[in-house]
Amino acid sequence: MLNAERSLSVTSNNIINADTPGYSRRRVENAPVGMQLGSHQVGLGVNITSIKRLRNELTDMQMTQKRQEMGYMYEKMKTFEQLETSMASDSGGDLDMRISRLFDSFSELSNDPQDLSVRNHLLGEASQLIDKLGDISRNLDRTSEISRQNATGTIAQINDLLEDLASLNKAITVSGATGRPDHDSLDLQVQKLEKLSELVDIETMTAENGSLEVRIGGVQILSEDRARIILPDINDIDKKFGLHLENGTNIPASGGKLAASIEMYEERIPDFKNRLDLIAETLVTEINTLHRQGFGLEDDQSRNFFDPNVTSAGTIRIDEAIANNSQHIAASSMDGEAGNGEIAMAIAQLRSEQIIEGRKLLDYSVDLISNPGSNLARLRTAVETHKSEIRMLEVQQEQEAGVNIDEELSLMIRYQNAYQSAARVISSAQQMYDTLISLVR
Amino acid sequence: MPQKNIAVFPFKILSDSVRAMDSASLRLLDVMKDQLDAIIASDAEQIMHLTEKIASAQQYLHKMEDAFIEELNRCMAGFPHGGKRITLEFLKTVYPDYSGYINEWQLRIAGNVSRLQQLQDRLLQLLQFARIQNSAMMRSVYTMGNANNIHYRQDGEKAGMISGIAVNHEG
Repeated sequence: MLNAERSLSVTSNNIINADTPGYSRRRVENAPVGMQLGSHQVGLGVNITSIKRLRNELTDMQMTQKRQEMGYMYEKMKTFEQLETSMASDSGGDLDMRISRLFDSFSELSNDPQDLSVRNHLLGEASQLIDKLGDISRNLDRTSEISRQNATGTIAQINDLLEDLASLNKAITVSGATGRPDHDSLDLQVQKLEKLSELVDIETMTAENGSLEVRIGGVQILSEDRARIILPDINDIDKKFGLHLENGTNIPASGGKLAASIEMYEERIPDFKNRLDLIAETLVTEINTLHRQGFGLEDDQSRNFFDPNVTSAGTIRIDEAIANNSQHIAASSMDGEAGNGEIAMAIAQLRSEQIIEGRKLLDYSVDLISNPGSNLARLRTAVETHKSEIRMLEVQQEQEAGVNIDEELSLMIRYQNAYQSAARVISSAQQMYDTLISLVR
Repeated sequence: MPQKNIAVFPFKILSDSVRAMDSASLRLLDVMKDQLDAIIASDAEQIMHLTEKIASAQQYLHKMEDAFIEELNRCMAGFPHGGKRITLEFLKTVYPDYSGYINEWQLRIAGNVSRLQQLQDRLLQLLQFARIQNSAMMRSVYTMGNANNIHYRQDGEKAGMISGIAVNHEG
C-alpha cells in the first residue's frame, strides 16, 4: 500500500508537470469554465479536461498496477494448487498419517516383539511412508519444472508483445507526423500494454512524437521501433533464474506473472523440498540412533533401520538387511531377550518428542502439507479484494468530472469522510467477533 | 453441585439466542455486502447511509451476543469453571448428552464469524485503497497548476490556485 501511495504521488506530480500530447484517448474536450466578478473570482474555472485527464491518468496507472498484481497472484495460485494436490490427498494417506502409522507400528511391536506379522506390518508401513515421501519429492520436482517452463514461456510472450509494440510505435509516429493520429494503433497499444503489465512490472514513457518507451527494472527494452530481446538465464542446480539482454545486461525484473513463476522456482518450491528432506533426514537419524542400540531376534549385530547413506525424501530407503529379514528389526534393548520391546517403545515415543527444529515431527509435517492450502486461501481472498478494487477503478473511469475544481474537491472531501467513517464503524466490530470466537472454543 | 435433569431440554433460551445471533449475523452480512457494492460504485451518499445501517446491525448483534453470554453463564451457574471464561466447549463437558446440539451451535457461530471477519477484512482493505486513491487525487487537484488555472492578480503578478475555496477575494 505504501508503495502504491508513493508511486501514486510520483505519477500525479508527473501528470501535473508534464504535458502528454501523446496520450491519445479520445475524450470530450470541454471549454474552460469560470468567470471574473469585479475583484472576486467565482469558481476557479479550471478546465474540466484537466481534472478528467488527471483522474483518468491516476486511475489508469492504478489499473496497470492492480492488473500486474493480479497476474502475480493468479500465477502463484496456480502453483500452490498443484502443490496442494501433491501434498494432501482426500484418500487419507497424507504424510502425517504415514508417519503416525509408522510410530503406531513400533508401538505394536513393543507390545509383541516376537510376532512376525507385526514385524512385517511395520516394514509395510515404513515402505508406504517412503513411497509417500518419494511421491511428494517427485511432484515438487515436477512443479519446479513447470514453474521454470512458465517463466520461460512468459519471457517469450513479453518478447512477442515488445515486437508488436515496436511495430505500433512505427505506425503511430508515421501517422502523427502527417497530423492524423492513428487512433486504432493507439488503442491497440493500450491493449498490448495492459497485457504486458500482467506479465511483468514495466515503466513507460511517451515521447512527443507519440512513440512509446518501455523499461523493465530500469533497463530500456523498447525505444522507437526497436525492441530488445530478453533472454532467460537459468541455473537449475542452484535454482536461479535471471534475465538478460543479448549484450549481457542484466534485467532486474519484478512483478506480474513472471515474478510469481521465478519466486516459486527460486524460493518457494526449494523451501518445500528442503523441509521435506529434513523430515526424511530426521526420521533416518533419530530412528537409526535408537535402532542401533537394540537387538533383533536372530543375532546380536547392531543395525540401522534406514539406509544411513541416503537421507533425502527422494532417496530414503529401508536398510537392506532389515528389508530382507524383518527379524533383524531391533525391538529389544538386551541381546537374547526376545520378549523385550524397549527399543521399539523408545522409537514409538519419538512421536511426542521435539526432534525437528524444536517441534514434533507430526506437527512439522502437518504444517508442511497444509502450507500450500493456507497460502491458497490467502491468495484467493487477496484476489477477491483486488477484483473489487479494479471494479471500483473502472466505475471511477466512467464517472463524469465535476464542472469545476471546487465541485470536484468538495466531492472528494465527501468521499474521504464517507470512507473514513465506514472504516471506523466496520473495524469497531472486531472485539465482538473476538468474543464470539472465544466462546466457541 | 446442581442436578442435571436431562429429560427436559435445558437450553431452550440458549438455543433461541443462537438462532437470534444467526439471523443478526446474516443481516449484518447482507448490509456489508451492499456496502461493498456502494464502495465499488463510488456512491458517497449510499456509503454513508449503509454505514449507519451497519452500525445499527452491529449494535443489534452485540445485544444478541450479550444475551447469549448471559444465558450461557446462567446455564453453567453452580458448575466450577476455575475462574475461566465459560465457553460452549465447557458446556459440552458438563452436558455431554447435548454435545450434538452444542456442536451445531459452535459450527454455526464459528461459520458466521468467519464470514463476517472475511467480509470485514475485504471491506477495510477496499476502503483503505479508496482512501489512498482519493487522497492522492485530492493532493493532485489541490496542487494542480497548469495554463488553465493560472491567472493574473490585480497587481499584475501571475498566481496559481492555492485552495479549493469557491469564492476567492483577489488583490
